[in-house]
Amino acid sequence: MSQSNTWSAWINRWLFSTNAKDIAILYFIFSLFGGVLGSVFSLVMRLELAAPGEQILLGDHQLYNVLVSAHSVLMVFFLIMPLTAGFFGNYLLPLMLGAPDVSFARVNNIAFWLYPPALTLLIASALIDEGPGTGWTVYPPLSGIQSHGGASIDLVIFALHITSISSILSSINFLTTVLNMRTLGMTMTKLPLFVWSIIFTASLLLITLPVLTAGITLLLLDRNFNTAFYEPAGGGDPILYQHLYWFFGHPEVYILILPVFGIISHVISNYAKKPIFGKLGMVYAMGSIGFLGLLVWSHHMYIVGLDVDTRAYFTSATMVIAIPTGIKIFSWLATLYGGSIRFTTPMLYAIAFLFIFTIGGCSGVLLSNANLDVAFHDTYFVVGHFHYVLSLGVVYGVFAGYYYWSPMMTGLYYNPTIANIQFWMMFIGTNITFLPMHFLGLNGMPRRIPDYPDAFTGFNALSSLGAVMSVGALLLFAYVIYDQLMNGLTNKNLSTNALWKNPDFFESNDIFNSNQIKSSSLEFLLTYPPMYHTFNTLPIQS
Amino acid sequence: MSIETRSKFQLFPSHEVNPSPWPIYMSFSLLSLGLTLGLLMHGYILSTWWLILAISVVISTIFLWTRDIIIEGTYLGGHTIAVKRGLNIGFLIFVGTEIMIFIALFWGYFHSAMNPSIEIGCQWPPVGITSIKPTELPLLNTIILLSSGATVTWAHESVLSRNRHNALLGLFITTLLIVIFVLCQICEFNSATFNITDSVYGSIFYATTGLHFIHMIMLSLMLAICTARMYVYHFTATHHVNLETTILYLHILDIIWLFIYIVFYWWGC
Amino acid sequence: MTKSSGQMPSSLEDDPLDGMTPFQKVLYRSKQQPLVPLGCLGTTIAVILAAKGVRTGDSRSAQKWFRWRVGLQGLTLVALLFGSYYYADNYKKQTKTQEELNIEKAKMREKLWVEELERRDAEIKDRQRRAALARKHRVEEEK
Repeated sequence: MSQSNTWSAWINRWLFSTNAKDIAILYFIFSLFGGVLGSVFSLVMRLELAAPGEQILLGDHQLYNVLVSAHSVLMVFFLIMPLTAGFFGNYLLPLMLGAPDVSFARVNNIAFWLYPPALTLLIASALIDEGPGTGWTVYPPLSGIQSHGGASIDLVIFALHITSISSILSSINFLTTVLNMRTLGMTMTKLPLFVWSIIFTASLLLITLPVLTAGITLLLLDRNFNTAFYEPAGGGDPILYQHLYWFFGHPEVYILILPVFGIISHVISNYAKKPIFGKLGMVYAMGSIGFLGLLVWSHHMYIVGLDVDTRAYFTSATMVIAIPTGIKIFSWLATLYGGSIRFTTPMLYAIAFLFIFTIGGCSGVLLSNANLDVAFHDTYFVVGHFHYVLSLGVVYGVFAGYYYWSPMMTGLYYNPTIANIQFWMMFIGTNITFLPMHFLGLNGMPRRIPDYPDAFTGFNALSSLGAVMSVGALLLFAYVIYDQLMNGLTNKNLSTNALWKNPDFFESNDIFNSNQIKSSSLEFLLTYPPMYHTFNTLPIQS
Repeated sequence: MSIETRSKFQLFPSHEVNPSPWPIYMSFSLLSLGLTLGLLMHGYILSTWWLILAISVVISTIFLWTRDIIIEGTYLGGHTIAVKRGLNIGFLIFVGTEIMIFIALFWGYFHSAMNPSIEIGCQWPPVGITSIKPTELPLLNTIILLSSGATVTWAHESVLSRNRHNALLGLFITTLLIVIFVLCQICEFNSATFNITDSVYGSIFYATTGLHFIHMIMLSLMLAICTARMYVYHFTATHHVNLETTILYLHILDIIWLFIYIVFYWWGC
Repeated sequence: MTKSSGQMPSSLEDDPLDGMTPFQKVLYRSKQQPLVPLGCLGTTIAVILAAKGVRTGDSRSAQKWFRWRVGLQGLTLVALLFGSYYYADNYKKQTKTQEELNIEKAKMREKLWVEELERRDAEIKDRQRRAALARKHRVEEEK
């Protein structure tokens, strides 16, 4: 084959792709970029906070604020969203449905290719003028033209616009695929839980992202076209922005966590060798979490001067979410109960997820209370809480998903020993990082500050130590991927590799040895890796 | 047709498209648009021609992309019943997101109007703002939109009952009515006594009606394309996804206008 | 002016909508012209049903509901216009010239002021009467 032919084949496959699995791989590579950037920013922040006084930022506090904003936006929009919905969704959704591909393949491609431009805009915003020092919430008046005069906020707004377009397009795509392209006999009740989680994620995105887009567009108009939506001098109200923002922002955290719920259900069910306990209940629990998630946005705004009745409503509505979440946690525990549990790496991550997410959920119940939140608001307690559910919860789920499905996706196996070491490093490192933050918060250390009184030194130093350990775990993860790609086939025969090597709880060794088909969902029944065109005839669900 | 029956006729009811350059062109032209707009607004770029260039790249990519879809759907037979249904579902979900944008703007309106602040005299519309009378041009606009709904329904009925002449006529009249609506809106915006910088009232008024206005321009283009495709025999009585979605879009925008009319012109007057 | 006489008179009393919370206002208007919100609701439902028709590929049902939506929206509009002419009191007042309005308002205020003065007069008289009574009592006690 001539040089130009290989090039055009390469371009056709990766740049002009219309294949959901290839696009999923692109999402994965891209989210690694986003994750590395976000992690480095968080490491710089932790190093700055390792001791009181100026550490490494030379007293440039705006730079610290820019780091905070970039870290949050990168982690939420450029790591988790492309990874959960983009990577896992694109790869697994068509496979689990038995569909040849997603419904709108070109739209799927643009949904991915909008991410690099958005990242470009975000990085450009940090490099131009004074950078966006607003946090991911971009509240006016701090983000107004008086406080951030340069072009950086505008570029952040455009970056958010573009990621919103991308997410809306991929959500439309997923929903249409689920509604229209299920294979023969695949009824809605038979859908795997991961597909259900993507359905709810996509619905939440479709309902809330337009509101965010409207909110930040009005901010753009306020900044550049002299309107008065958020400008009190013209009768506007910055609180309106907070409402519009959090109407998106709160469902956004469920958008991040719901696909992980799906992943964890698969992992736990597989390694406990039992079908998931109360599958329909799990679906309804996810549905109610999504629905209630739309009704509780103002619990982020307890101290802006809402009246008492409003706060009472948002407190109780928020607490109600603990019920479906509890249903999920207990169903997972019930699945584990009596199961033939194998502690493979994904299972370790899944069990750690249960533990960590319960802790994060409990501190969330504390924060949902408007009385307590008056004290907790904008302290490190909040930072500790949402890192327990996101940085630990979601990221553990994503690791579980990676370790669970990557052998299927690539046909190459990781080394379970290194992977287990990676898990324990990650587990210890992240807990050392984020547990002290709760105590700092209880002692009153505010968020988003580059310096602090000497009294907070101990816990901060511990937290920074943990951050360094976590980054070490991430580097080890990079090695795991390297090892997987280079020695994947030899790793398959390692004695430590427990994947699909033990018989099921309820089947004899005899059946196990002759029977190749032993999975509750479709994707493991295919070749490893699946073919470019997954199915040569449509599979049929009995 | 149930999925079981369908499978007897065609193995894959779905349409697997070939690799296409338009998505990546589109995304990078959006990058150019965003960067140009951002830098233009802060004086890093001094000529608006760059913006016009960026917009034309976006529009030309849309043109090329939709050209591909029309070729696949009309000439290559890619649009099976299942694909048509998928397109309709996707479009409906897209319309849902559009409605959410308008809901956000209405939210902004009610947030400011329900509790007008002291800066605008604790009243709505604010002190010193003469709002547009609902019984004048806006009423005419409402009637124009209503009749466009009627004519487009007539066109749809004609398409279904295989009456090409009436369908063409109906679509043409509808396009004309939407264009007239757009022109009337331009008149109204020009003759209004307040503009987008006049307090939050002017801001939210022009943001919402302006967004609807932009949608109306888009709709008139969509209808013009439908008329043209009707004229060159692209549509049949059973295969006219483009027409169906356009008609649905018109009806949804009409309803949004009804709410805008009641809330912004009657209630907020 | 039909309000109970217990309240202090004020020049802001001529519009029944004044002093209402926005929510009450919406409720008041909806009660006054119930066809308008009902029509809006009907129109929305018609379009949703039409969208359902489009989704399932049933063009005939979509066509039927499109007709309903045009009809219902027309009805809503007619109800809106008819209602606003029927309850035109508030709107007619607005069509009067500013001068007429001012004169009317001045007359109203004058009338209110006279009433207010009469009320105060009565109050003063009442007080004087009670003072006289009290004085009489004291005189009797001193005896």
